[in-house]
Amino acid sequence: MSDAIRIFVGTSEYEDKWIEKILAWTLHQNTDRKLEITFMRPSMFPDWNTDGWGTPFTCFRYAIPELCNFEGRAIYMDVDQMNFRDIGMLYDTALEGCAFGMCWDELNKNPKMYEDTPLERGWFADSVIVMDCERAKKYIAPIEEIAATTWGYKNVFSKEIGSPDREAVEDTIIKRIDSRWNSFDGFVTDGPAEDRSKQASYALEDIWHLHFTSLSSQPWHPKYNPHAKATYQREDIVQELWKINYRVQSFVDCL
Amino acid sequence: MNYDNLNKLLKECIKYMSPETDWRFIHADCYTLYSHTGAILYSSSFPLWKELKQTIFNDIREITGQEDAMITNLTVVNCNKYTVCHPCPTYSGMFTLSAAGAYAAIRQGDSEDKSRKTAHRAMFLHSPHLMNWQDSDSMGFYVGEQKHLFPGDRIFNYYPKEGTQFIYFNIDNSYTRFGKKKDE
Repeated sequence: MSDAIRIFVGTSEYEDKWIEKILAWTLHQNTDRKLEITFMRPSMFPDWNTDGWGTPFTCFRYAIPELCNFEGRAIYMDVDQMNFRDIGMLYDTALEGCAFGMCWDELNKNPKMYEDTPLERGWFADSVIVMDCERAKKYIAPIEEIAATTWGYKNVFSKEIGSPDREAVEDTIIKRIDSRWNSFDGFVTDGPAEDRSKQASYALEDIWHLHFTSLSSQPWHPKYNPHAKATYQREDIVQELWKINYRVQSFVDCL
Repeated sequence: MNYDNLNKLLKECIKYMSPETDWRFIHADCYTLYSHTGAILYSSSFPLWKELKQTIFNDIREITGQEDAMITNLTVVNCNKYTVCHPCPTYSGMFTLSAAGAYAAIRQGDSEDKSRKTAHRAMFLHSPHLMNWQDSDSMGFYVGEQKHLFPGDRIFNYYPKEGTQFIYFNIDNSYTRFGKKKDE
């Protein structure tokens, strides 16, 4: 096994190239360590049942432990993200025997089965995951089964690891990681709030890894996105994004 | 109209932005810079757009003679050989920056409703230059480059070719430039 940090990025076939470049650039920019980045595209997973997925890559992440032969560590992240801090620090997070490292999102609306229960809202967000591939085997079905699951394996997995039931699974199956590693549009996702707009926000310099979660207001609009376009709320974040975009494009132009 | 601004904007959108879709321009690479639908006001964060927005809006108001109207849409469109344009509604227009053989047809006399139906039916045309447009009380022509097209209260069809590049805009003259309903 190589000593590189294995990062798997869920992405589309070609519609997300713009943000892919920015994500890869920022990951490399902020670390001295060797990165082995794999973009998980639909063409890598032919014949998967993608009915009901919210993105072109929704369930590919669950293939990671098997793709790694159930050995070592890997990080999964969605493509709509931008890094601000050495990803090696996330990779080295002490999982203390847990299979997964994930950030808690206080406001996620869970499936209907949790309606009117204390678990109606809140889960361990699966958009950034540190995986112990050997331990993860116990909680994830074989690839053929994931690929064939009707209406997506996402909820099956979430239920399997007990994701919405924080007290039951924290420090046994899931190690809760600092929410700055998956900050939804700058929000403190594990902070208490009635809705996202009332949740506290991180200052730009305190964000370690940003997730452009709201599809409507992402400052770019991939072609598969059917949502109406809305203006991004954090001017400081958007300015940083464009600054990096110009740098990346200038670099590409030099090649 | 300062075409240097428009050309620069088009070039930089294509280079620095991620291509988007727009229902009006099927299979084209589109870059929505401004959209005001009543419920939602969207203005792209693209830095050059922020810089040029007011100048371009002032120029549009001036050349269309709609000095106190609300601009509701501005979209940069880069066409390919598969691009099909929906008919453009009344008080919409285009700056064609690269024509590449694009053709347009303006509906002349019919009511807006009838024009809309016939314009939708004419979307399919493969060779619009062979159509006898006078028979349907319309005017067909090859589109000029570095020119604007704004037929006011008439609907028009636009038939792009591979390489056609334009900036589309739409105006709602029932509102003032500050978004206030005019008859209120």
